[in-house]
Formats: sequence, structure tokens, C-alpha cells
Amino acid sequence: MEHPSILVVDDELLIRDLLYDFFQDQGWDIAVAESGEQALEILQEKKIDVLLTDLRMPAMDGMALTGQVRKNFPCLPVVIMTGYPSVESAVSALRNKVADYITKPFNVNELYKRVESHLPREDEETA
Amino acid sequence: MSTADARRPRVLVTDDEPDIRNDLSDYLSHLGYDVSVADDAGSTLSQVTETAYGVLLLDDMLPDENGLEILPGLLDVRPSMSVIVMTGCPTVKSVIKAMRRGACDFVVKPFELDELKTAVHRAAQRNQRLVDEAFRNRIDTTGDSKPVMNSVSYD
Repeated sequence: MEHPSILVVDDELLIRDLLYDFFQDQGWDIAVAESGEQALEILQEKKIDVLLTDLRMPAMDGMALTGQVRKNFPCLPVVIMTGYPSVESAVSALRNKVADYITKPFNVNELYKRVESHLPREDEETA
Repeated sequence: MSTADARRPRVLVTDDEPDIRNDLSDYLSHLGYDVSVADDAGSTLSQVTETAYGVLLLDDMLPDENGLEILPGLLDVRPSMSVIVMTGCPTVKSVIKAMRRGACDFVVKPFELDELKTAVHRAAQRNQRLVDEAFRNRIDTTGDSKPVMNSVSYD
């Protein structure tokens, strides 16, 4: 995959900026959203390979966003990140077919490895 | 096996505690599942290798090996099998590990039987969907090159 694309959803500007710079440096096509609602609009407009979303956000949280995304993009890998990890939310993520669950604060290189592992494989794309 | 038995989803319950094995076996059999039991990691692997279980209820603390450690190997043998991890000592890390190793659900002991019933039903549906997809795509889920008609033996 030459230029994989990612949509980062977080209500914290600092996280959005950090991940925007990082993924851009890695050669990714990156879009950012500050809310679940904005993320859904972007998904209608752009082809996205991986969705990376914060869990706790005002209005639509990461799990609700995942539920909405599943309706229109059932195969899109969703990675949850959270500064408030709990067994309950991790189990809920597992049951909602979330691809990964990453706790904050994270090492950005570790996060990158996890996100990259969920990119669709070339043979899946052409299948 | 009668025709009716052949349509019952096969469930394997792995737990080293006899009371839990027996209670779950009785309960799930009552619900109509075709239930087998195992008490350690070694017997789980051999049973999964021999029989196409649709659902595995896997305790994480087994006497010979941690259940989460054997999970990838089990799914190598049966990629469409739905695995529900059971634990009495849940941590965020263990749920994440289960997720990354291919479990489809995670239940915390002691659990309500209704919760388990829902989880097993959902897991059986997932397995059936994967088996159906493999059949439609003629994908050999066992990893060798035999046609799916010969390799998928859910019933």
C-alpha cells in the first residue's frame, strides 16, 4: 500500500496535532476530526483505511462512533484509544469488533505498529 | 449421530474446575448445544484438532498453560471457531491480549447464565457466518488446498 490513509478522531487538539504530524511524516494520508459527527462526514467523502478514535468524547463517544461506522463500513478497522481504560469498555470494544484498544499515554511508535498491523493486506484489497 | 444432532452447534468448554465444566456443560446441553469438555490446554488442543467445534469457552488459567497463550494455535487449526475467554481475574491487559489473539468475547466469572447464553449464541452465529462465507468463497479454512466441501465440517 503506497499511501495508506487514516482518520484520527479526538476532541483534544494536542493529540490530533501530534498524530497528524507523526502519520504525515510516515507518508500516510491523514485526516483529523474533533468529534464523531465530523468523522462520519469525512468517512462519506474520503477513502479511509484505518479509523483511530478516542473513546471518551462529548456527544458521540468512540463506541457510538464505532457502531455508526459498522453500518456503512463494516470492514473498516477501528482502533480505540483511551486515557480511561476499563475492563468494561475493553470488553465492549471486543464485542463491537474493534480491531485494537490502546491506552493513553501511548508510545507513538508502539501505537504506529499496532495501527499499521490492521491495514488491509494487498491481497484483500484486490480480492 | 442423528440428523438433529448433526445440526447442533458444537461447543467445547475448557476449565480446570470440575464444577464449572459440569454446570456449563449441563446448561449449554439444555439449550441445545452439542457440548464437550476439556480440563487443560493439552486436551483442548487435541480435541480442537480432532473435532470442528464452532464455539470454544476457554478459561484463561489452566494448569498446564495460560489459555490466552494457546489461543493463536487453536485458531490456526480452526480459523472460524469463535472463542470466548472466561476469567475470574479480569484486567484491561488480559482483555486486550484476548482481542489481539483472536477471541470474539470475554466473560468475567461469576457470570449470569443469561449473559453466557447470549455470548454463546452470538459466538455460534459468528462461527456459522464465517463457515458460510468460507463455503461461498471456496476458501479452505483449514489451510490446505482441499476444496471447502471436504474441509469445512461444521455439521
